[in-house]
Amino acid sequence: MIEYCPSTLDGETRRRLAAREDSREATCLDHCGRCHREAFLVVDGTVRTGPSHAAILDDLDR
Amino acid sequence: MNVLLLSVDSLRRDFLSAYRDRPLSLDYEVETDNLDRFAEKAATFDSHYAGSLPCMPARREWMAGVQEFLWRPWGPMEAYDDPLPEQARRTEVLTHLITDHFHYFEHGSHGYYENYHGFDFLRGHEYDKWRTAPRDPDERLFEQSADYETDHPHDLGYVNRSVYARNAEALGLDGPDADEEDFFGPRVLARTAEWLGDHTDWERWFCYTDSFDVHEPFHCPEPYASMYTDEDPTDPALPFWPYYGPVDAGQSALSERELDFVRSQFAGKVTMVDRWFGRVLDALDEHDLWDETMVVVTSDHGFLLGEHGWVGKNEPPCYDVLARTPLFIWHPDGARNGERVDALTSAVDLYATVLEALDADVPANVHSQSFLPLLAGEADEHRDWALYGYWGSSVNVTDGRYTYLRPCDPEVETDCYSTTMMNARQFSVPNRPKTDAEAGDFLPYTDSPVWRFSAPSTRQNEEPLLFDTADDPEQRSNLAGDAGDASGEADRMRDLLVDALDALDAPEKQYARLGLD
Repeated sequence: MIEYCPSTLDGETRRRLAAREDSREATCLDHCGRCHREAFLVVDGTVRTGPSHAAILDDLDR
Repeated sequence: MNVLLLSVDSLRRDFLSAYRDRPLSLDYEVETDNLDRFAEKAATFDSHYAGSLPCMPARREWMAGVQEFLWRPWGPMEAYDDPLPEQARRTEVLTHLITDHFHYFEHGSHGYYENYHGFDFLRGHEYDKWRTAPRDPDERLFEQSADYETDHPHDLGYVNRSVYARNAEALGLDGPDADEEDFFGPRVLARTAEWLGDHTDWERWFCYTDSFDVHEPFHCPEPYASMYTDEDPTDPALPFWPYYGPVDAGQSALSERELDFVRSQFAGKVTMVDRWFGRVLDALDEHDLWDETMVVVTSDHGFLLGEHGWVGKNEPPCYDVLARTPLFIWHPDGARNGERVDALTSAVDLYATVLEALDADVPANVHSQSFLPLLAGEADEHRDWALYGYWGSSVNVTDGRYTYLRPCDPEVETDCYSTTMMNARQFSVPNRPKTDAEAGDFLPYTDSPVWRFSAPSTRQNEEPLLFDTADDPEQRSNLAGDAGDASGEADRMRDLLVDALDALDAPEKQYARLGLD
């Protein structure tokens, strides 16, 4: 499962994530400090970071 | 008249015997002897609802009388607010705040404590930016409250759970034999009892005690830690600070064993706070304060412990576990003391009720309606609707029996209105400039110009949810879309929601994002 919050997502990546069956949008994932600093997604309960949300997603899909 | 307003954060009303024999989802009773004792003495409100959620929005309802969630999220008091303590000061009332609630001191939440004549801030709870040593905090406390991958103790970013372990260690809460009197709820309530004794020579006062317990982390001393579980409560494998979210998926997933433990520690905190609340009652007795003091006990919201498949709050629909809050009020001249009050009341009404009890002026432009007439026995009804919810998500309404949870279209952004460039989300990190903000006289309840900018909406429920809480208090059967007897109720509640939004002169965009005419 990929968990994400919309705070810093661009619209396109949000739509891309929402279209997936293995994703879940959360109001806040309680990682505001990390969210303030860098792009992240929570994948199967583990924080994954990268240069952008799209890049993390691309990396996951690869 | 004095007023003691006591909030116990996240206190679920179903954990109190005054409301329910045993809590939802638990097969054991939870000891709340002192809250029960107070409930027998006070008026017990059966249909009291939160307004704006979660923590700081609830406090702005209490302290400014504003139903803010239609206009903005978690944030500061605004320049155009009339803070309750300031209104009280204007009528020569001594004001004091006692709290361990770190949110008052976080980024973007100013304006809540500055107007009191005095305040106690007891340090160390939750994310309180207090202790920075030792670099490697107590291992057991850390493992029960965080994990090394997500919140590494050496990480220097904002919002890191490891701070709790350091703070707790500094307070001597790290050992299994730690004294309960050093824990947060006991310190806040002991200080309140002490304050009551120290201020008997003031003519009138307003004391606001805001206990962060029973909010998570659910870290309890003995005997409470073992009171409702056979587990070893110091087992590092058992968390006392769960993540919010679905109980069965993602980072918030809990095993049945973990969930049982979390529930037991929440229950333990409730009993701990109850026992120390007894000291406040004792102080009121000892200093003969009951005849001159209105005592209000309430909470800002609840906390889901697996009900409806969720842990925590914020993201799930605003079920009654979260929104229907406890309220007990003792009034020296109250005609309803010792009785149940079934009239519908809202958190925002506490602002006007407290001010009126203090003989202070209630500003005309607030959303708050005093329910002193209920307490005086001069009225049996108070309001036809109560609105509640989170900014940027569903908007919910109740008539006291039915609850109607209206979802938003997540594709339609929500406007945020504030004199500050507050973060619409990410509350506890520095604000960022909102370069697309417009300034103008946008609010119906003030002439002050504010910024207006938009941010993403989030969905709490996909379809409207309608519950008959008289027949279905656990809100298991959604009646919305039901072709049977409830079909008319869905239409009626949707119309009631529109009436409520109209009455508050809600932003036009709210109707659009909620799909309302």
